[in-house]
Order: sequence, then structure tokens, then C-alpha cells
Amino acid sequence: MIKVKPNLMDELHDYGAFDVSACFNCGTCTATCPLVEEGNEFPRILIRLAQLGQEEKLVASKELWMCYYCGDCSASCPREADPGEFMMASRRYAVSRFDFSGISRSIYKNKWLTFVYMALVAIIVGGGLYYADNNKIFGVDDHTILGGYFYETIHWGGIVSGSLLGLILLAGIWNMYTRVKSSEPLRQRDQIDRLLPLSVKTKLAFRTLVSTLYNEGILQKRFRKDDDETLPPERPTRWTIHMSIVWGFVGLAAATGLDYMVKDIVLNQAGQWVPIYYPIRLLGIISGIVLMYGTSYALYFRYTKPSQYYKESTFDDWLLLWLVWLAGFTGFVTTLFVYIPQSIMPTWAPWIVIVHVVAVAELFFILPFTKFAHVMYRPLALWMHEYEEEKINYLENLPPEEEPQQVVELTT
Amino acid sequence: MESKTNGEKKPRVGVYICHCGGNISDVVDTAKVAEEIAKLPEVAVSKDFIFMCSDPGQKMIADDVKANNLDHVIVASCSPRLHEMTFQRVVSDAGLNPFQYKHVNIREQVSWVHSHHPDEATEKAYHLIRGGIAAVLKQDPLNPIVKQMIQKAAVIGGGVSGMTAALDLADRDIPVHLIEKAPVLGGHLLELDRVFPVEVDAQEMISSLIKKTMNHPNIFLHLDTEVVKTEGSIGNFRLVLNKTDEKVLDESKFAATLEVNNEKVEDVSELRVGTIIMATGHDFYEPDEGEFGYKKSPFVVTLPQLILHLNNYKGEKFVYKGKEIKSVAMIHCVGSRQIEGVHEPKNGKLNTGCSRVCCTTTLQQANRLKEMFPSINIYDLYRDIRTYGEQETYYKEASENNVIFIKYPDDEPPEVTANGKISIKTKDILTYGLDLEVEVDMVVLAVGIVPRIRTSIIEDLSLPLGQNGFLQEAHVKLRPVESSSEGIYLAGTAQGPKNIRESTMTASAAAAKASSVLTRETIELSPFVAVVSPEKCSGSAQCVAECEYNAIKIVDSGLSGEGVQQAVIDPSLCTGCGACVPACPEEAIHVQGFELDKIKAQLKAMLVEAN
Repeated sequence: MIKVKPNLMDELHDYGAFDVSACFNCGTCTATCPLVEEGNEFPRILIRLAQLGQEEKLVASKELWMCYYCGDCSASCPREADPGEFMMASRRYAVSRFDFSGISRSIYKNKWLTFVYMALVAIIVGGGLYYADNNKIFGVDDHTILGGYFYETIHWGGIVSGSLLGLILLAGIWNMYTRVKSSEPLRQRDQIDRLLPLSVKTKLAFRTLVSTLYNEGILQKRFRKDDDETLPPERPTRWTIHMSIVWGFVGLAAATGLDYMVKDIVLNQAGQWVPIYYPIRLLGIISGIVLMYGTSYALYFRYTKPSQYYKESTFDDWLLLWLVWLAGFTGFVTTLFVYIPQSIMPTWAPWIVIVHVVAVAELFFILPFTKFAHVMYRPLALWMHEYEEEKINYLENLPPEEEPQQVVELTT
Repeated sequence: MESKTNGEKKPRVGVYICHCGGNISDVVDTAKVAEEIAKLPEVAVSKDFIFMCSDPGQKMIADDVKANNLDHVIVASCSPRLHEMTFQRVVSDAGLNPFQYKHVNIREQVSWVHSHHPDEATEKAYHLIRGGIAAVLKQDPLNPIVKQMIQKAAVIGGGVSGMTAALDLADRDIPVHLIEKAPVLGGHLLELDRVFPVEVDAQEMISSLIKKTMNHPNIFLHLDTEVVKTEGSIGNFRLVLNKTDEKVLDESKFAATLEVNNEKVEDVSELRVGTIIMATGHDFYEPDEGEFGYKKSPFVVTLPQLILHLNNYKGEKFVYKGKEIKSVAMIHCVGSRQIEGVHEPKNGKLNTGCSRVCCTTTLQQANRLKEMFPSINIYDLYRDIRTYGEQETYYKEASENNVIFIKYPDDEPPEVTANGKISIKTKDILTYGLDLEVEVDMVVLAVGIVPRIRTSIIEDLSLPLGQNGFLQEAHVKLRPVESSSEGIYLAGTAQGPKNIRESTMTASAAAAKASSVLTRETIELSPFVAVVSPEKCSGSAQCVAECEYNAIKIVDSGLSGEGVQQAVIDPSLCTGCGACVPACPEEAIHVQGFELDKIKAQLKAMLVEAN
């Protein structure tokens, strides 16, 4: 028996689902959705769960993360209830639920508070950089930017904030894991867990992890299908743009990581200047270009609204895109400064570096609390659900157990 | 039955065969048929023509009747539905009795169905016409039955339908007796606040209607009055009236409507009128004790009770019987759309029909509650939402107001437990059957519309009732406001659940139908009615039991001598259905126009071999 709670819809309104209460559960959205799979029909059922106040079921659902917002459901809704926007709002809501600190919740409910938080981050990071290194960089010549002076601060600041971020992310993941795990359909599978030996479970977990990363991460097949079936008119497609951003990020992360490993650990030449053809630097530059390509197009389309896919943009969307764009842009300018002769280096060059570092810090800051968090929640949720489904499939496809042969005792 | 044409005079029949512009003549050899028919001794004129219904065609018949001294006319053409009356009028204008005309269908019954067999079709047309000639020669001239009309109407029921019908008739200068059981006019509308679909103030609307009704010089009011006996038929009904002592529950509430102009209130015990409009209205379904917790908890109320409580309600908080109500569950289809095996029959009957107004009213009240008390939570437990037409806006608005809709299965109504806090357990179809529990402070039952029993009139006039006990119309589409008894018209919810607009529409329609007969001094009734031959009737009364319309009485008619009990048929009640004909052991009854010897002669003539 499930208690109906009346106020979840009101709550979701704060996350952007303005019209969804008009929904009368006809199911047209589900019928038109190109990403529906047998056994995972949406969005209608999620709207229904929200109407009944079933928050736990809603945030633990797989369907929430199966949607890539093509907007077909909203275009076909007879009540103009905007189910696509509901899915977006529910994801924002889920992110805020998984965040234990309450920062996410307050960011979504009050964008001015977001600015306050971000201003605090900017003051701490930017101010820290300025005071830590100003005596070295401002007014002193003959130095390469990021070659030496910012290095210490950024290095240790990065490690501290990275660890902090890691902890917050882990907490969010744990929060999500427990919610998904305790949601009704999975709880009923408890006994399946007991039936399967650890070796099988490990094998299945690994297999589903690889397939999820491959399908949802590397190739983003679901997103691609969404684009293919709804035929967006504009070029590049949403999938291309998203892939550029994702792979730009992956490339930059790889470049940063490799740089750290090779120069700091292997060569013990931390902070050393490298030529532009140094492979890791080259990887970073190319990834940066790819990232800028995707981000710029995403911003351009969000402004020009060429199709239904770009019709709604929330504060959340703008914030993420502009931060990424800003970080990318200042990153390039910074790189430029590394390779131009000192004679033409402008005096404001260090400020660009500070802005770049602040932008990256802001990105780190909003990662667990906003739309950005989907980079971990989406693949993780899909993996968890797919792992559970695989376990059931495995059991169902087991060959029937052979009857133990009856031993007939011969009495003499 | 003696036929006028059976005397010494030789009959002179005119036969006209229509081409129907090729519809007939492309298949049937019309010229040959005309030629063959002309050979018959009783036929004086036989012609074929391209369009008999055209002006030249009609003129041809009229001229021939005079020039050739025709006494009977046949037109062989389309279906009689289409043009029988056209040609009856033509022969009537030419000086013959309209029933000395016979229509033979050789289009639908011949050329259209036998288009690939022209020879056989031609032969069939010939035989059908021969049968028609034999039949028309046996046909006596018939005249419509003429009856004096009492040019007054009675309207029974003084609600919105009754008053609308009465005013419509009165405006056409027809005196109307408006009979209302309660001491005030207004009916159910007195209990309403705003009414859909455009949120009209019900009190304002009904009081202006009451004022108009009371001040109309042609309307005679009979308040506090019931009809205890009714007899007669169209043109002359006799109503026996009786004073009731029904009291209005709360007189102060209806103070404005109680200013009755006493001069207008008639105090008589008998009325004679030409027609009756039944505007007797409806009752609301009264749930059984314990049905959805009704009467088990004071906080389980019906929808009309909620509306009465909210009328003129003042206050920020919703308080009912001393308790603040923060959440309300509204349950649809209480006492409507009942299913055998699921619902308990009441008085041995289930109300299987949809009550049509409760869905919209429920949502209207849900929106009203949300408007008055914005923080209130409302749950709407429904089977289907039937807010048809523009009433759909109430549904949309309720959704937008975050009313939580729960669709429960038809055969598993919600269970209401009321000990202190009210808890409702139900299945939710929209989540594939999750078991839900809802806790609320109040339950509102959207009770259906059930017939109001008015046994005296219905029994006295044998008015037929439909499946769910409402008065039944003569034809669901073609005669929607007439009872199958002539002179009785149906208005408003007496005939079935309706909203106010639909009620007043049927009221105006009933008034229009009634005035079409009330404006005449005499009425002509169809001559196709059953007739008793006094020389054969033995008074066995077997026909009386067969008659659905109470048209036959066994009386001492005096026709066959003193003290002889015989059947007499009131032609204004008889519908010519013929049910009494086979019931008579003496073959003493026949329906005019369908005499046995006529049908025999027609068949015999059809079966004659062609020359």
C-alpha cells in the first residue's frame, strides 16, 4: 500500500516543470518517444509517479536517464503539458536529491544564491592566486606564464579542491546508489543477489560496465538514436555537439592527467616549459578545439532556437555552457601566452590566467550540484539498472537443472 | 366492409409509370408496362413519363382525373417515403379522396435491385402495379379523425424546465397551468450557486425566471399541488389535483422566491387541458448507509450537500461540522453506471446509465474549493472523466490546480474507512494497478441523477419508461421530446440526466411541439387506427390486455342493444399498431387501411400470370 503525497508536483514546479500538472495521462508522449524500450516506457509513468508524490520511485528510475530531450513528446502532447520539460526538471530534482549538502537544492530554487556561491568561489580562488603569486607575476619580467609561478598554488589548490570534489561526488553517488538499490523493483530482486555466486556477479557487473561505457559514454548511441529518429533540421546535430563537448572534456582530462604523471612523477620536471609539439600538449590543444567547437555551437543554437530541441533554456543550461566556453577560451589565450615572445606579452596576461583558473574552479564547484552532475549520474544509473536486468536475464537463461538421478537400492 | 367501387359503376383507374430520369426506365421497359397495364378492363388511363413528381407530371394527373373522370390513381415510381404525400395531395386537389391513391415502388424494389435482369424486372413491375390496382379498388375513402382541441396546456413541474416550457407556451398566447408540488417554484436550481459552463449565478438566473413566470398573464400557478389522477387523450385531458403539505427545508434561504403573487395561484381541484408537458425532474441518488462510508462518518457527504454548505460560505479556512478540512477526496459515479455483481441494486434496480452532470459539477466544485482555500489538497477518484464539450475546460483547470486524479477500476470501487481520520484504499489503473492509500478529512460523493417517481400520471397514462426508469421518448432521434402517447411531451431531466442547458433546450422543444397542436381548434388524427365491428364483437376483452396505450375500453356502447358490453376504441389514443387485431377471437377488429380482404386481393392480383 502506497501513501499518496500531494505536493511533489508543486516541488517540481521549482525545477522547471511549469505545465506538467495539465497532464491527464493519455500516454501520447510514451507512444511518440523514440527511446522507449519494452519494460521501460516513459515519460507518462514518471509523470504519474510525480502526481502521486512517489519521489523515491521517480528519482530511482532508469527511465529518467534514458531521455535525451528531443522534445517530440512535448510537441505531441494534447494538453500542452510539456512532458519533455518535466523529464528535464525531474533530472534536476534527482540531482538535488542525491546531493546531501542542500547546495544543489538552493541553487535551483534561487539563482541569486548561485551567484553568491560562485562569487565566493571566485574570491577564494582568484584572490588566493593573486595574493599567492602577485609579487612574482605582476611587474616582473622574463617569466613564462604557468611555467612556474602559478604552478605551486594551482597544483596544491587543485589537489585539495579535487579531493574535496571527489568526496562530494562519492557522497552523491552513494546517495544515488542506495536510492536506486532500495527502489521497489530492485528490492524485490534481493534474493536474486543471494542466488548468484560472486564470480557471476562480478562478471556481469564488469560486462555491463563495459557495455554501458561503450554505448552510453563513448558512442552515446541512445543520444544518436534520439537524433536519428527525430531528424533535427539543423547541422551539426545535437549528438555531434554533445560528442564534441564530451570528447573535448575527456581529452583535456587525459592531457592534464598524463601531464601530471609524465612530468611530475616520471620525469620529475614539474612546471617545466614544453614545446608546442610535445604530444601531451598537442592532445590538450586539439581537445580544447573540439570542446570549443561543441560549446560554441550549443550556445549559438540556444540563442537562435532553430528547432524545438533548443526552445527551452534554463539558467542551469546557460551557466554550464558559458562556464565551459569561458574556461576553454581563456585556456586558449593562456596557451597563446605560453608561446609568444615575452616582448609582446601584455600586462594583463596574468588576469586571463586567473579568470581561466576561476572558471575551471567554478566548473568543479557546480559539477555535483547542477546539470553538470549528469556526467556521473546518467552512466552510473544506466549501469546499475542494466546490471540488475542482466542478473535477471542470466537466471532466466540458465539451462534447467537436471533432476538428480534416483539411486535405486537393490535389496537382496 | 362494403366498398364504394363495388357497385354497378365500373371503376376508372389512372396508372402513371415514372422513368425517374432513367433510374427506373434504364432497367424496366416502362413503355411496355404502360401498354400491358392499359389492357386491364378497370384501367382507363395508363401512361409513362420521365418525372411524375415534376410540375408537368403532377399536372398530367390532375388533368386526367378531370378529363377522364378517374376515380382511383396509381403512381409507380420511387419509395412511398419520398412522394406518396406529394401525389395524395395532387389527387386530393383534383377532387378525389387522398386514400383513393396508391403508391407502387418500382425503383428501390425493382430497378435498383434487379439492374442486371431487365426482363424479369419489367415483369415484376407489372405484377406490383396489378397488386396496387387491386388494393386501391378495395380501399374505402378514409378521412382523418377530427377532434376538438382544448387550447390549454398543463406543465407538471415548476423547475427550470417546467418554467421554460410554460413561458414559451404562454408567450404564444396559450394559457398554461403550471403545477408544482413544492410551495415555491425553482426546483433543484434553488440549491445551486454558480452553474456551468459559464459560471452563471444560479440564484439570479432562477429568480428572474420565477419573476417572469409569476407575472405572466397566461400562466396559472398551482403550487403545493400534486396531480392525483389523469385521464383522456390529446385534445382533452382531465387532471385531478390535490394540495400537498410539502414544506421547504429552509424558508429563509428562498425568501426572495416566496413572494408569491397570491392572485395568480389557482386553487381548483380539476383541470381540462389539450396537452401535458412532463417536467417532473429528478432526484439525486441517496447512497446506502455505509456505501463509501456514507452516514458512518459525518465527513462523508454528497455533492449537493457540499454545494449547499459552500453557498454563501465565508471564511479563510474550510470548516465543516467544527473540523478544519485540509484535504478532500471526491468519488465519481456514486449511484451511476452501476454494474451487475459489483454494485447493490436499489429497489431491485441498478442505475446503469451515466448521469452526465456529476463529472463536470465535481470538477467545478474542486476548482471552487481550490479557489476559496488555495492550500487544500483534492483527490479525484474517477472511472472516466466525462466533461464533454466546452465543459472540458473544468477538467483542464482542475488538472492545472493540481487536483490529483486517480482512475479506479470499474469493478473495484475505492474502499472508504472512516474511524477518526478517513482513509481510502484504491487501485490506480494509471500506474498499472498500484495499491494506493489516501488520507483525507472529507469525502464527497458525486451522486448520480435518478428518476423521480410520479406514479399517478405515469400509470394513468401508461407512459413508457426507459431502462433506468426515466420517461421514454417516442423515438430517440426523430421524436426526442414526445412521449409515445399523443399530446404528452417530455422536458428536462424527467426524461434522463441533463444539464441545465440541455434541460431548457428540451423544454423549449417540448413547448414548440405542444404549441403546434394547441394553436388549432381541432386536430386531425391519423385514420389508420383500429376499428371494432359491433356486429362481431362479443366483449371478450382479449384486445384490452394487448393494448399498450389504454385505447380500448369495454363499455355498454348501446350500439348492439341495451346492456351489451362491447369494445370501444379511442382513436386519439390508438397508434394503429395492430396488436389487438390477432387477439380477437371473433375477428371483430381491423386496422383501417389494412383490411384483410384488401391484402388478399392485392396478393391475388400480383400472382396472376402476365398475358
